[in-house]
Amino acid sequence: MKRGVQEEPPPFLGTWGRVYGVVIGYLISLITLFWFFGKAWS
Amino acid sequence: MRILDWVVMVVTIVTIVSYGLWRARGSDTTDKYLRAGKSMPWYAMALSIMATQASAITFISTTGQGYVDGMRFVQFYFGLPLAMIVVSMTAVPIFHRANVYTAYEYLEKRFDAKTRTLVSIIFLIQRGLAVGLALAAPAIVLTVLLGWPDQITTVVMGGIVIGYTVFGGVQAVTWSDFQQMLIMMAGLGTALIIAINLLPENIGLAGALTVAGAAGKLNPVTTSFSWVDRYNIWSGLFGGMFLALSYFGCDQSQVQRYLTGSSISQSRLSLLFNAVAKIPMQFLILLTGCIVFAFFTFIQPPLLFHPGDMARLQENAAYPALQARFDKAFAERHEAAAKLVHGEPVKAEFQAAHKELEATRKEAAKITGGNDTNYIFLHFVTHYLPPGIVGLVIAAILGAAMSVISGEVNSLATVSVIDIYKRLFRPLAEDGHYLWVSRAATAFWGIYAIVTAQLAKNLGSLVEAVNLLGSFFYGGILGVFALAMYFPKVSANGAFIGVIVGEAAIFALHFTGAASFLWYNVAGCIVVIVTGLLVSRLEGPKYHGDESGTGDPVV
Repeated sequence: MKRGVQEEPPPFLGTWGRVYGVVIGYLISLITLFWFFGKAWS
Repeated sequence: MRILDWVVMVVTIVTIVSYGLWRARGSDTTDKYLRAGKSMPWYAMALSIMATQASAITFISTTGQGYVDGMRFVQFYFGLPLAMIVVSMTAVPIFHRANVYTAYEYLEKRFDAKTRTLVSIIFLIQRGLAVGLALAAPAIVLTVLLGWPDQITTVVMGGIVIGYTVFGGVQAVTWSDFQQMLIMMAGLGTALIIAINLLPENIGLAGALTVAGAAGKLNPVTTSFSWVDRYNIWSGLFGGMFLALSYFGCDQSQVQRYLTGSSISQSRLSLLFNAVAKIPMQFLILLTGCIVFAFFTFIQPPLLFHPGDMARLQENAAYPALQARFDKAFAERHEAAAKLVHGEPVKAEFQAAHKELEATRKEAAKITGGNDTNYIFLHFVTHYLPPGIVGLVIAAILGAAMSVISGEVNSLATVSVIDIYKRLFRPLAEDGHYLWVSRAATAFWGIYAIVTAQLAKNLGSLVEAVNLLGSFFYGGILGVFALAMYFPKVSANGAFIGVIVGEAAIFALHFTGAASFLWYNVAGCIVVIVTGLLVSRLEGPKYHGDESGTGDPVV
């Protein structure tokens, strides 16, 4: 195995943990929006 | 199709293929042919990953699914962002550090050769059948457009894909995918905007949504739970996450896309782009299906959308009565819909007419024995979109098909050569030999896809067929990768027996009908892990595999 492959920080938000957090927040917002969309038109 | 449509379609397809081949020039080593020399930027991988998933099936079948079943199918993708995070955190750095060509190579580093071979064979069977389904969908497009037999269209489409994939390898595949995805987005956006513009003058988007909502189509989140309900938020979040984990973490057709990345960071970004973009894209595709539904509430559609089935139905003695019943139901639904849009409380009348219309369609489909879900969007495109735009949308559908087939054929060839041929038959040949064998394997799997596509014509909604097929095998594969990455004490025998028992459990679940297919992945994965742990414990501490995570066995 190559042990020399280094992890780099993401190009934004500083750490990968923060990037993952934003993705989870985005998913929750999307589901909430869809729920309201369904309620509004049904 | 008019001449302008043909011009737009041919120019688009030729441009995509030529650009892919141009970018692939110099693929003269196995590393460049199968892994792009690990040089790809994140945006090319990101769109290639999306294009490999977003097949012609996505266009044809998902819009049909939106028309027939509404938007609840979008929930199937709710687990995908979570899976992308897990894959980015675990599989991406592990595969990059292992410096592998295939995901299954890692299994030998962690367990042993027999586990690697077993999982490689499972992949070859599953992906080999799926590639046939992916080829069947665009064959449907050409059959409808040109009136050619399915067999001819399958051979023509498959032949084009085999040509550029054999020549250019993974670089041609990735750069063609990149362009195909851009064309797909353009085609999808254009179709949606035109569908809205084609609605009758006093209806508009709000009216269309009112009609689709009254028919129960606008249901992107359903919170009720049932083990046998395919699409609800729970099966989407948990079952969908497991399916996406298997797909992106263990399926070579996806892993190969991000293994071409120049760094861990580039590969992660490509996956996270998918985490963000996939759900809105599927939402818009399903919404297009719902808008097409609203359109056909005001403009009378044919009784059956499949032209061949419709012709067969017209020869049946029951046809005149069925058509009259359909006409009456349509008129009643149309009238109720017009009132509904203007705020009159006629939802019950609308729903009753809609139910009667759908019952008539079902009866007609029963006579022909076909399923016309995959023909709904095509009928709309070919009959109602303006010249030029039809060509663009058809090019997008064909481009999407080509991206999936090329990616799958490429990954099948890679596994065949790296995990089977090189590992078991010729481990020490020169690089030029493996390059030649890789091209031959690509051609073989392309031909295999053409043959299996013949079996896929009457499987109903193709998108469901693909996902169902994947669910038979993904749980087992995911389980063994979970054992490899998260359970350092598990032995090679534990993993091997675990996969076999896990697969048996999935098939038992299917044939007893105990749960919907989205749960097969969860159940299969859990059975593999539990069996692997039990067998390893029974075996005792004689061999613990690669506890260090470096690929070196610890005895």
